Amino acid sequence: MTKQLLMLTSITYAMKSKQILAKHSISSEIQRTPKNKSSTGCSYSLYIPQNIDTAEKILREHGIKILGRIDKSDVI
Amino acid sequence: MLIYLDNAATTYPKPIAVSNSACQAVKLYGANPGRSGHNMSIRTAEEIFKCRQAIKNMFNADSEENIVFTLNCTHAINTVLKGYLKPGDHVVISSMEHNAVVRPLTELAKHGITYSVAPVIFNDNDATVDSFRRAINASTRLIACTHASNVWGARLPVERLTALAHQYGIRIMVDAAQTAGIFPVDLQNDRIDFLCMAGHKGLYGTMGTGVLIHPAEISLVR
Repeated sequence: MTKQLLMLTSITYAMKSKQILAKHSISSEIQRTPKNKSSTGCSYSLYIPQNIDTAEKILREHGIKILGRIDKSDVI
Repeated sequence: MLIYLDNAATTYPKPIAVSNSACQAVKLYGANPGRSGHNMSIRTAEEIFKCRQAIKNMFNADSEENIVFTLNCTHAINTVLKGYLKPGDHVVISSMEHNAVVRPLTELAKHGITYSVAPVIFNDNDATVDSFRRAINASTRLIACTHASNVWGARLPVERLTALAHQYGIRIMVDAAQTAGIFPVDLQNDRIDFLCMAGHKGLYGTMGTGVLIHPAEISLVR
């Protein structure tokens, strides 16, 4: 299965999301979204090794705006 | 022996933990957050996020993301006045306001934003609230007032002024330069819309720091 990341809007939301997921026992790692994938220029993504669908659902329920998904292979 | 009496300007001495933290940031991880992906940048971003959470908890703000780090309280106040108001708007301020409020409004008056000064009646909060009420007109969009005056030491009844503002569908900005860290402020209970504060007075942070907390639904970016 391709490893995917959730694209978020800023480092603040990335930090907040990481904490939210940690409370739900889902581990994640913050990574910079590649420029060619980001329309805003300064966005961050969360690499979620397991349960990404569940993680996305949880984050959306917490009002976190998710811009989409990218493949981990796209991140240097 | 030094006796320092200028704490209303900036507090001294700062707690040792403050100088240690600032030193640690500069020495160990002081990279630019929010732009890069390397370890130092992420570490710095983590420390900033912890600071957001500490502020959110201290003032019972809605969320971490509505906390803006400014250069000082004056910067926070200017951000609200210049970001929220537009030509045609009217503001009510108290007769005890700091230049940080009066000077930008004097300048904004050249651009169609008007303001009225509600006299503060010392030791009579009923009369003070009433003077604010009489100053409100159909164009009033904001009440801007100090929480406590650095000159008089008098505290305004901001909870009552917030209720008054909201009764008229008006927002309120509170200049908490002298009170943040001294008097408790609970944003969810007190319902103050814009809270402006200095980082370097009652919060005992370093100079060059300030905080603005604003409602999620309001953008101050033009």
